[in-house]
Amino acid sequence: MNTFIEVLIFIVNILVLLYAVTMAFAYVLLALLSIWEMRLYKNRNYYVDYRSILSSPFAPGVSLIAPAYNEALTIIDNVKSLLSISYNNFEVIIVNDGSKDDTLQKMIDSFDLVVVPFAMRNQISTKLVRAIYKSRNRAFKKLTVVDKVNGGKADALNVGLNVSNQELVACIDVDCIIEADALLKMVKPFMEDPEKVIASGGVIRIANSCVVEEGRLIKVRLPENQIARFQVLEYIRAFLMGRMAWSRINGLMLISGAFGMFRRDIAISAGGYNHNTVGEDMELVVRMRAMLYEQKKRHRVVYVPDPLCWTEAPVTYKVLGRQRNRWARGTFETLWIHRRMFFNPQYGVIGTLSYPFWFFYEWLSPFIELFGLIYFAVLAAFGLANWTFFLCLLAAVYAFAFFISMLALLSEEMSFFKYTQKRDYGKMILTALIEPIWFHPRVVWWAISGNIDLIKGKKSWGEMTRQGFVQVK
Amino acid sequence: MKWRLLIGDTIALTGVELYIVGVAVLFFSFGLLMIIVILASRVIKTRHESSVQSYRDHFQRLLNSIVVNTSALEKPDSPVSFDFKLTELDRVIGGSVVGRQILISQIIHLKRNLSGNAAYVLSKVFYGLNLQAVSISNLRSFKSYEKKVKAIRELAEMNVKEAIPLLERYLLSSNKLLAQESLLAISQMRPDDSLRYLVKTQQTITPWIKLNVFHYWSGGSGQRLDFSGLLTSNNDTIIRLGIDMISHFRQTSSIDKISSMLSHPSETIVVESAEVLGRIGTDKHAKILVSLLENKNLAPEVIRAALASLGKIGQPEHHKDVIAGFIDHGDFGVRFQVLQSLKALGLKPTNVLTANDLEQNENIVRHLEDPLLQP
Repeated sequence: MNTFIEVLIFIVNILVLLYAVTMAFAYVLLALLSIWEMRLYKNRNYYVDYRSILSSPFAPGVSLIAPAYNEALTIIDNVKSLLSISYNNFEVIIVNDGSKDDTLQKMIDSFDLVVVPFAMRNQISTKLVRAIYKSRNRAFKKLTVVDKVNGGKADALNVGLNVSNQELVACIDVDCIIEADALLKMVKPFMEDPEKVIASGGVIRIANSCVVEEGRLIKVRLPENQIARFQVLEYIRAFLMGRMAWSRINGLMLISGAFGMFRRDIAISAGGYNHNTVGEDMELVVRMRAMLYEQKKRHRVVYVPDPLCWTEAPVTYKVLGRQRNRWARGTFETLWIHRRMFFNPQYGVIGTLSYPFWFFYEWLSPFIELFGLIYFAVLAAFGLANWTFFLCLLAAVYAFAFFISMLALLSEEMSFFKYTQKRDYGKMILTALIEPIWFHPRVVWWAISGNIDLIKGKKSWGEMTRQGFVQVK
Repeated sequence: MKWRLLIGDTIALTGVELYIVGVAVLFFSFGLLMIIVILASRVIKTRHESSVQSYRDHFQRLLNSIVVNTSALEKPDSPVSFDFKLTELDRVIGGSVVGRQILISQIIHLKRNLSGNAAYVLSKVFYGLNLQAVSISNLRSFKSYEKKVKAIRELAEMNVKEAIPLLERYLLSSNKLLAQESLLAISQMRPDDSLRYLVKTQQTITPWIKLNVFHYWSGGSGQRLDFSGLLTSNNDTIIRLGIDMISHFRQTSSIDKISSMLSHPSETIVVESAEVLGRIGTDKHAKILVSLLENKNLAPEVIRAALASLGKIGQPEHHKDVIAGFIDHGDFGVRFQVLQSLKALGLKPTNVLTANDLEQNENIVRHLEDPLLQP
């Protein structure tokens, strides 16, 4: 019996070690690929004059679709900010998703909106659209407001897709701050390879403590709040170190819901956003790609590393927990819906690399981490724990987490270095040192509880409360 | 692992544990190394930035005085002040490669925002300091393709025509970006002659290339060039470029060639040709569009384009029935276009369509009647 237990422990140890080593190897590889790709991107676009897009009759039309739910506090500034974006051929579609507050009334009053008999194509079925509004003021001609029965973000975006009549759609969170030249940078990949590029995504940055004036970000500052700082580090790691590499090998599975651009025809033919998942952004990208792989059409999803969109990060563990819980549910739902892609070479890089990576190292990793802790606790309880081995492994994991965070900061330093204060880097290094022991365990727990909630059948988004940006008037 | 290592008297590590500790130490050391690199980078960047800034300030002062003085005197070739300033610039640069590169970038950025005499003077500074040699040398060297792309852009922006033979070599490069940039550079430097290169190229003319060449041709060359030659290319993207340019520069002399493209096997080319007929065609071309619409197997996109054009160049009495004939089409866009085209011909839907058709498409009728929904 003892021999059996020893063999079992040995096998588990080897499996855990193998998992950790392959994961570390994958992350380092992605990090190096990202840094390389970033350099290429910066060199390639050194002399690009984006103003040529601005003045050209050949620039593709873009619909900015922004769902709004209970956004009365900031909606007017947000809409004005969207309307002032640098692009010629664009429209702004705000979809009021049955807000309980006076979001709609505020827009009606501020933009002089009236109901119009808009003939909408119902290419995707959605909840009832109550009315479509246009402004009587010619200054807001580009604005269309849709009022609909509440159906969730995916449903609101689908209404936007139905209303849109442009070649490209940019789906954004209404409370995000979009850089003035964001659309110019996002449409360029579509213009360079119009047959293949079906979607493009930009970097999302944390705007907490940044200074905002008239809906424009005028000064980048590191968040004062430590929880937001943890997220700055996470976002840099995810966007600058992961997605850039996946874009390079055409394996991107996720374009952030906060700001992503799609070819409208492809999004519609794939069926639009899925109402039945809280990870609708990832699910749409995967579904579009799956559809095109099945039709044997070559395509690309590209990633623009310029910081184009700034968002306010949750500053309390409670709200952050809800967000991460939802992300975990969304990830699993997407992976489950598209499980046929798992290690399926028919789906190219997605099937053979991206999907397995997401499955093993994104979705499964919190469970492995929890399992490791429980496993060790059981061994300790029975006096079988090898404390020295445990501490060595813990040190290695901690050192690796620190190393990856530092690599991410180096990548940021070498590319856009938005945090220019010397003390900011001191704070970020400190954040990287405490993150694995203070913040990461919570992230693991939120991911696990998200999966538990999914089993329980939870479908809600969870309320997100925000503090608002530092405004300069 | 059987052997054990003693550290002091208390901790004993097996081989595996030792290996894991080694890995931990390695990662942590790399992490610390990166902190040093980041801090060093900060120091270097700060110094580099201040050095760059100092160069920029110097250059800007000198460039301002060159541009302002020569412009104000209206004597761009005034040798005394110009040569003196040029020598001064050369002295500031010294042997610095960085300085030279900063000056190139600065001249390009300034030139983009200036025109006329001021831009001419900046070009003179560029050539006077032989800065084109830096870009040409970068293009000739074995540097990465991104560096070459950067050099190509510099040469194009500064209109260094002597580099054209060198750029021609890259037109057929297997590196798409190099091929694209050399094509754009030649088009920018020789807009009148660029069609010769375009006809020969096997490159896909992307909207990005189209946008840029259109920008160069908009300077005046577009009116002089005959784009109909592009319509005979075996490259569909070249044909599409030709169609677009004929439309934008309103080359009505080429319109018959456009109408012959309606029988092209590419649906996109047919759609674009039909749209151009609506923009610059005449009544004669309306008949051609009617013949096109007689084909029962047309894609909705083609029908839409043909109907839209018919709405613009057709005659109400001759074409209302052809247009109205599509009112029961299954595609929403086609039905929408039917009503839009009837409106464009000055017809009221109630006078052309049956009560049933009107009822079926009531939402579109109301949409088209609302002034706030008009483009």
